[in-house]
Amino acid sequence: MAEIVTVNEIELGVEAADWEEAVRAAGAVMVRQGIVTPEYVDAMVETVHTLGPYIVIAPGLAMPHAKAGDRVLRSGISIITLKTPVCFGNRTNDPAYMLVALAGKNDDIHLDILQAISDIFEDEQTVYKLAACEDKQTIADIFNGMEVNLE
Amino acid sequence: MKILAVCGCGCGSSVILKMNATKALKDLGVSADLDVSDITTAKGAASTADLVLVGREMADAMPAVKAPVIVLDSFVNKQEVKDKLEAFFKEKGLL
Repeated sequence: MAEIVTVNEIELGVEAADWEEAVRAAGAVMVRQGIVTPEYVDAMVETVHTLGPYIVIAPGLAMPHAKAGDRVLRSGISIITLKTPVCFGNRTNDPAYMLVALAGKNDDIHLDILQAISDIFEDEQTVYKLAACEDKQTIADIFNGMEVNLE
Repeated sequence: MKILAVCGCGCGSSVILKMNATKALKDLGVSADLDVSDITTAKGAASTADLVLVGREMADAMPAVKAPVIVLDSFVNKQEVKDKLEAFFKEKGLL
């Protein structure tokens, strides 16, 4: 299987004062890596404003994404962990320690990516272990399907 | 049985929900068609559905639909999806 993410799409210990800064930080990585245009980042923020904090899909984990339009240059993800967790206003899953931002060209987010996210975070402790992880390669390996012992 | 998973854009979290619901239904031995929709088209899409799955924060924004709605706290917790589907099908006498 092709790699889902490389260390270049991962930032650790990002400082964000609130959820919007956190989403923009995850978006900035995507822009830098040529995954999306800056307008896509605005759209991810706007999605939270209009549709609410549902993107905190599990305790501690936010998954910002938006409709692609012509703002997605290639399908991909970025991953950031936060120095201090932020609240989105989600009643059950706040605060978010980690963001996995998604972009799918033609709104077709690769099923491998979604399956990996679903499997990785099935154990609700995983997000906290990953948020405390200080090695980008370890996180990349986990997303790319390698067996990694987080203990 | 037609089941609809709903999220904000119909391309991310609802697809994860669909994957996990598909697995849960297989484990439960229930056959169903699963589809996804975004919140803006959910009303139309739900009109032919027998069951709707939606995340808690999206539930308030869901238009009123005829089909029963199961509200989920987590999109990735396979056990929650399975437990709630199992309870639903038992109540309906389908399990």
